[in-house]
Parts: sequence; C-alpha cells; structure tokens
Amino acid sequence: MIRVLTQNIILFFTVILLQLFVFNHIQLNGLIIPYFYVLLLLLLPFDISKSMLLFVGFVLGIIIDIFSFTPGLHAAACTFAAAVRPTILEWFAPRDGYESGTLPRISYFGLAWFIKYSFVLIMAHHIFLFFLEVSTFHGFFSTLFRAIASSIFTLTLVTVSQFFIFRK
Amino acid sequence: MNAIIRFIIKHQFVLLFLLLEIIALVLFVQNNGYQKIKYQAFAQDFDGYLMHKRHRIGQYFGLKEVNNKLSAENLMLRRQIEMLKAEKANKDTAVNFTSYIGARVIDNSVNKPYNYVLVDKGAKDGVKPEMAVISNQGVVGLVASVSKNYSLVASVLNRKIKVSAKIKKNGYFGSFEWDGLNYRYAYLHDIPYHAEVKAGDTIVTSGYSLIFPENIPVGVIDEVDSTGGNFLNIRTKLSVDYKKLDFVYIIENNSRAEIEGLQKKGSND
Repeated sequence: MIRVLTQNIILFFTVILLQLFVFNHIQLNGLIIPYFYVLLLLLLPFDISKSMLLFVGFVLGIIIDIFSFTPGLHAAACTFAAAVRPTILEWFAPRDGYESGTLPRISYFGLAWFIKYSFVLIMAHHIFLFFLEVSTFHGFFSTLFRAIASSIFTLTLVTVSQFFIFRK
Repeated sequence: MNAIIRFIIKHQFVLLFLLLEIIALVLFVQNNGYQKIKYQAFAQDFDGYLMHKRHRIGQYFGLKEVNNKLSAENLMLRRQIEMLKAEKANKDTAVNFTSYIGARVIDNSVNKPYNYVLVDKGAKDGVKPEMAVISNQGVVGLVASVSKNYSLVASVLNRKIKVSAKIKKNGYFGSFEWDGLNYRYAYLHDIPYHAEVKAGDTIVTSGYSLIFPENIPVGVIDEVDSTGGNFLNIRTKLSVDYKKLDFVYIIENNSRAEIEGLQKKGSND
C-alpha cells in the first residue's frame, strides 16, 4: 500500500516535469501536441475513492495550467477525465471484476487491455481539452482531427513509457 | 437539515465533480482575454526562471547560427542608420517610436490556437503591456502581460491578435489574422475585390493601430483567392519563422497616449 502511494507521488511530480519541460515543446506539424501527464490518471489504483480521484485530477490540471499560462483549461479537462475513469474501467472490466491487489498496468492485464482502456480515457481527455481550448465548434473537424491525432501520439508515448517504468 | 446532509453525502461524487469543473471553467473564462491575469505574475517569474535555465543549456548548441544572425542583423542596422540619417534631414514631424528594448526569447509555442512567447525583459526594464514586439525579420506580436523580470508576448500566431496591415505597393489596408492552423501562414482580410494583388507582394504594418510602427514587414503574399465575394482572401507567408525566434525588440510608441487622447476628444464632440 505504502509502496503504491510513494510510486504515485513520484509519478505525480515526474509527469508534471516531463510535460512542462519535454512534451510541451514537442510539436509535430505545429498542430499535434501530446498531453502525456494523463498517464497519472491512467495508473492510479483501482480502489482509490472517486472523490479523491477527482481531486487528484483537478490538482494535476491546475499545476499544469499555472505553468503553461492556461488557467482552468487543463484543470477542467483532467477533472472530466477523472470523472469518467470509473465508468471506462467498468466497460473493460474482466468478467469477475478487478481483483484486489491488482493495478491498471500492462503487467496485470496485458497490452491489449491497457491500450483499449488508455485510448478511450485519453480520447475523452483530449477531445474535451481541444474543444475547450478553441471554445467553439467552428472548424469542428479540424479540431476533432487535432484531438484524435494528438490522442494517438499520447497513447503511443504512454504505452512505450510502460516498458521503461514498472518493467517487473 | 438532515435531508440536505444526506443528499450531499449521497451525491458527493457528482457535487464534487460539478464544483471542481465550475471552478476550472470560471478560471478559464475569466482569463480568456489575451491580456493574461495578474495572479500569474508570480508563476510567470518562476516559470521564466526555470525556462531560462533550460534555455541556457540549449543555447550553446546554436551559437554558430546565432552569430551569423547577429552579424546579419548588425549589417541591416547599419544600413538603417544611414537611411535614417538621410531621412531625418527632411522629416521631423512623424509619429516617433523611440524606446527600443532588446530581449531574448526563452519560451515559445506555435502549436496552440493562442500562442505566446516568453521573453527575458520585464517591468524592471521598462516593458509595459500592449507594447509592440518585432524581430529583425518582422512583426512578432504584442506584450500581453509583464512580471518583474519577464514578459509574455501574444504572438501573431494567436487568434485573439489582429494586426492592421497594408499591401506595400498600393497601400490597401486590412486586418491580418492567423487561422490557427499552419504556423507559417496567416490571412489578410478586408482587401477590396478590385485591388491589384498577386503572389509575391509584400505586406507591411499600416501604422494605423498606433501599436506597431509603419512599414514593419509582416509577410509575403502566397495565394490570392478571389472567389469569396466583395473581399479577397489573401494567404500570406509570415516573414517571421516563429520556430527560430531568438532576439526580439520591444518598442513603445511615444505619441500613442497623445494621439489616443485626441481621438477620444474627437469622438466626444
């Protein structure tokens, strides 16, 4: 338990630093930008309380916001992603639910499960974020395209990162 | 009372979600202007400090290119001095832009709908919001907010920024805006259908907005689309490559307060 807690606290700071110093500066085609920090929301344990999940999401978002000069934007998107996470987990749950002591990682549920679950959550987060950022449905498809392309990029980074941490 | 408490406990997840989401959205909406808010002054200073450190590490790798750019700029400035000397002799009543502040870019983005550039000069060096920012290639943007040591510049690649620009050869002017897609191209609007324009013409600032001096390069026309009614749709290649932005100048229009005062007086009559 303590180990999982420390891991998540370290992860919290790592994703923030990586996002601010590395991923905010990656620009494919000037339009696609990975929001890698969602990784934290993906990897939080199953048994975290729903309210705690919302709170972690909000704090994560607001910290990213402060340092990217986008007050409220990431906080809103992260809170939204945190809110839909329990539902998404339910969709992909094994027949008898998640066993206690397991964590949402590749080592427990396999690559295919992880990619499916991550993709849906990342998409939810990115679509919310990109539409809020432009605050208009004008140019709907161009925004949607940016959101989807960025989601795929984020998903790739998130999946690859799994092979570097928690190799186990 | 009990019922209310029971209701809150029962729906704590939904209520907490709504609360946090409303806080976030209020923050977002309140600070949606290109003029960023005051609370950020501290974050800007701290962030500026960190970015500065990061920038310094990267700086060494680009020294050669920086040197080349500087010598090119020196040359240009010398030419400009000669030109100005000649001009000064017969012109003494123009709008004067005198306060130049040189600054370096320490953080920069091109991939969002609203892009900002962070530069290493702030209130301490005399930078104020709404000052114009240019580089030796052309218009960069205008200062959105200022902290003690750093300032945040809303670049032309920011959909909230419109620059008053004109076609150099015939003086037709319109508003210049970015569409949020490709960071190398932006559009000049409001040019009437009958204006003679073709690809390759230069677009410069008009000087009407009182923020930018006149005749600062903005871009070169890339494509003219005349199918859209009374006005032309002119695609322009920006003269500044924002991905290579390094040295910039922050300028103040010394006559602006006076002219604005005059305009206000005029509109009151």
